Formats: sequence, C-alpha cells, structure tokens
Amino acid sequence: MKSDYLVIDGKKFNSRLIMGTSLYPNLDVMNKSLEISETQIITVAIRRLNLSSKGSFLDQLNKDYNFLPNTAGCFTQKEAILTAELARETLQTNWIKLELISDKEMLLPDPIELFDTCKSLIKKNFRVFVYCSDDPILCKRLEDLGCEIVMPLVSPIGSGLGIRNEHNLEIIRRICSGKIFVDAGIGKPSDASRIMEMGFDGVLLNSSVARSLDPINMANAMKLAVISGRLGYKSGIIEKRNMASESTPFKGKISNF
Amino acid sequence: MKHLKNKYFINGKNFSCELKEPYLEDLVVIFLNKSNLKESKIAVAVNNQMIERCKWKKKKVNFQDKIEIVAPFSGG
Repeated sequence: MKSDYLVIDGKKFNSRLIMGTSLYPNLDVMNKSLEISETQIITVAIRRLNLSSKGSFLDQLNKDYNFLPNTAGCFTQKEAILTAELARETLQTNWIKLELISDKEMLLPDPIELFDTCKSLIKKNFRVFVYCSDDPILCKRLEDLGCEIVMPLVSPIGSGLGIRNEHNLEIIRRICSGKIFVDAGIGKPSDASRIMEMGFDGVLLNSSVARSLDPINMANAMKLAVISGRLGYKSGIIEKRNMASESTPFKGKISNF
Repeated sequence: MKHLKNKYFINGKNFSCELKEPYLEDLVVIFLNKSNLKESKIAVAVNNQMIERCKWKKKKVNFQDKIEIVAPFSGG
C-alpha cells in the first residue's frame, strides 16, 4: 500500500500506532516494545523532577521518536494549560495530548471543561490531540474547533474492555472527515484491527501492551493488527448479506442425483 | 558578608539555600546541583505561571513563591 502516509501537522508518518511509555516492567522491555511496534510517536507525561532518579527519562530511550506530551491527571483548564505550556517549553513541541478528566475512578473526560480548554490551547497555537468521550456530536464539535486529532475512547483508560459502543464509533467515523484515532480501552489486537477496519486513522494504546505477559510480542501483534485493519479498510470490505452467496458456481457440477 | 539561608517552596517541599540575589536561574542551578542548565530538558513554573527559560535570569523569586520544576516522564 504505497503512499498511505498519515500526515500530522505537515509531517508524514508510516506508522498509525501511537504508543504510551508507561507501566512497562522495565526500560529495556519498553525500548524493545517501542522498537518492534515501529511506532514513530510516543506519549510522555510532564511531572515534577525527581532528583533521585538516574538521568532523564528521555536519555533512556534508545531511538528517536516524535514526542506527544500529555496532560494526564489534569482536572481543570488551568492545570491542563499550564501542563501544556511546560511541555512545550521542555520538549519544544506544539503537540499536546489533552486529557482532562472528571474523576479518579473512571478517568472519564469532562466534555464541558475539555471543549473550553481546547479553544484556549488552539488560540495559544497548540496542535491538540484531544482524548474525549465517544459522543459523536462532541467529536464533531472538537473537529470543527480545529483539533489536530480527535481521539475518542473505546472504553475507560487501562480497562482493556475493548470496543463497547461500536455504533457510536461508526457514527463518529461517518460524520468526522478529519483525523480520528481511538485512545484508551484497547484490550487485544483484534480491537485495534477492528478500529482500523472501520476507517479510523490510527490507534493510541499503552496498557494493552505494557501490562501484557509479553509486552514485546504484544507490541508486535498490535503493530500487525493496525496494519492488517488498515489494509482491509483500504481494500474495500464487502457488504454483508443476509443470505448465502455461492463462491463456487453451480455451473458445470456433474449432476443432481 | 554571610548570606542567610532562605526557604523556598519547590515541587511541593521546602528548600533552603543561600542566594545573594534571589533570581530563578540561580535557584534552579542550586536545586539541581548543576552548573550548566543548557542540556537539561526541564521547564519551570512560578505561582502557576510558566516562565520561559530565557527569562529565568531576570526573574526574581520570593520566599512564598510556589515553584515547580518539571521534566518529561513516562506516560500513556
């Protein structure tokens, strides 16, 4: 599939898989998992400097990646904007994965606070990758606002519950013409593949790889799932029929006994 | 002349140090125990306002200021 690049902020990417960098058993496994996934974009958090840690987190990555800093843990517009500004200062990128959650138990996005925060960040020239709920109208409104990528959840962060409301996702894909990823809730490779078959532009995941028994092989599986789903989508999946349709013609059959 | 140890509030904790003039860059240098900050991938906020690196030198800090020094970390 030539020229099937993903273009984000004017940059071309071969991979449609964005990987998180949290929860891996150790740095070596994380590095190998990221490498085998062939991801080109990884998410990072912005946290208070830990003076007791050896070297910076970035120095421990064994490959160059495009960084997508997040606002994980932010509950208010003020917190999210300050985190985004600190991220831009430290990583020299306008990209921000906006997470604005409403509660600690479900980590669900707060759609009202989120919408206003997107407006403010776009005004401040951020390229916003917005993590949001799977409400089609909200997704469309966020797209119209000028978000770089709208990223509805498929189920709560880290739950691994997979796709819970496929109908909403189908509507989101139909009414949003821009780049739509899914973020959060992917549990298994078939979830990622299904999302890509539906025509989504990519998948962002973390826990499903990092918390698996074998993160390196799971990262490979997710890569293949995303590629497979994308290939299927681009190749034109056949329409479903209620009745059978023979693949081998009856014509030429020896006889009817 | 001996400088008195002053208390600052950095990353949620009290931090004491001697500073001839209370400028942000000097405070960050002492906090990190690094003379060269050029390579450090860090960002700083004072009282919930991000301070651009180019302004650290001239930014005065007060004892009551809430200072946050952050860096990229693993995240999903």
